[in-house]
Amino acid sequence: MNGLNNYLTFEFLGLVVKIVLSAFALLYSIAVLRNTLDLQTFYESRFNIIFKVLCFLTVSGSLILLLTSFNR
Amino acid sequence: MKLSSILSKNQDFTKTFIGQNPDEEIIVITRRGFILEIIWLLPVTLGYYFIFFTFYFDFFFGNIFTLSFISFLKLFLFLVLSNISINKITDWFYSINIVTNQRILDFDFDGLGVKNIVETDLRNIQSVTIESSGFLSFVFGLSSIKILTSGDNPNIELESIPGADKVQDIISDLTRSTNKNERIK
Repeated sequence: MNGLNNYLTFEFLGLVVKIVLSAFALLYSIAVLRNTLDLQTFYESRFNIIFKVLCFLTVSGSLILLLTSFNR
Repeated sequence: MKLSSILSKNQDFTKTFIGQNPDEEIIVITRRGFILEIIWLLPVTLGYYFIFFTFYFDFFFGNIFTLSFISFLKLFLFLVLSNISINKITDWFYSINIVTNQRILDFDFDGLGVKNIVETDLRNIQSVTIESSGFLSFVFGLSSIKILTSGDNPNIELESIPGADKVQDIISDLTRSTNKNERIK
C-alpha cells in the first residue's frame, strides 16, 4: 500500500491526465482528417487543399502535444 | 439572365463530382446559408476567447495547477476547438445540392462518418415546392425547396438555401424541357 501511495502522487496523476487527453486529441484529429479526405472524394474543389493543410496541422499539433506530455 | 448569374456565382467551386456522366453539365450548386452555422460558431468563438484572453484563469488556478499544466490544458482545448471547427466547416462546405441537366443530387454530411446522398432524375420530378419557416430563415432570406418525385424515387429537400425562388424556377424549367424532349423521342 505504501508503494502504491508513492506512485499516486499529484504529479503522477497529472502525467496520466496529460497523456490521456493528448491521446484523445490525436485520435480526434486523425478522425477529422479521415472524414475530410472522405468528403473530398465526392467532388473536386479548389478549397480541398486548404482543408487538408488545416487537418494535417491539427494532427501534427496533437502529436507534438502527446510527445511533450511524457515529459514531467 | 437569372441562370447565368447563379452559374457565375457557383460554378467555380466545383469542377466535377463523383459519378458525373461525360455529357452531364452542372447547372446550379447550392448549399445551406452560412448564417445558420452561428449555432456552433458562437460557442466555439467563446472557447477561443477563453483560451487566449482569460489571463485571470492563470491567476486563480495558478495555486492549484502548475503553469505548464495550464498551458497544456489551453493547447488541448485549442486543438479540440480547431478540430470541431474544421469538422463543422467541411460538413457545411461539402453538403451541397447539385442540379445538372440530367438529375438532382443532394449530398448531406453531418458529423464524423455520417453521410446521406440522394439523387433523382429530372424526368421523375412531379412538383417543386418552396417552404420558408423560422426566424433566421425569414431574416436572411433562406428557404427550403421540396422536390416530390414519382413512384418509389426518393423525395429531395434542399434545406435553407439562399435564392430558392431562382433555383425553383431553374428546376421547373429543366423538368419541363426534359419531359418535352422525352415526349418528342
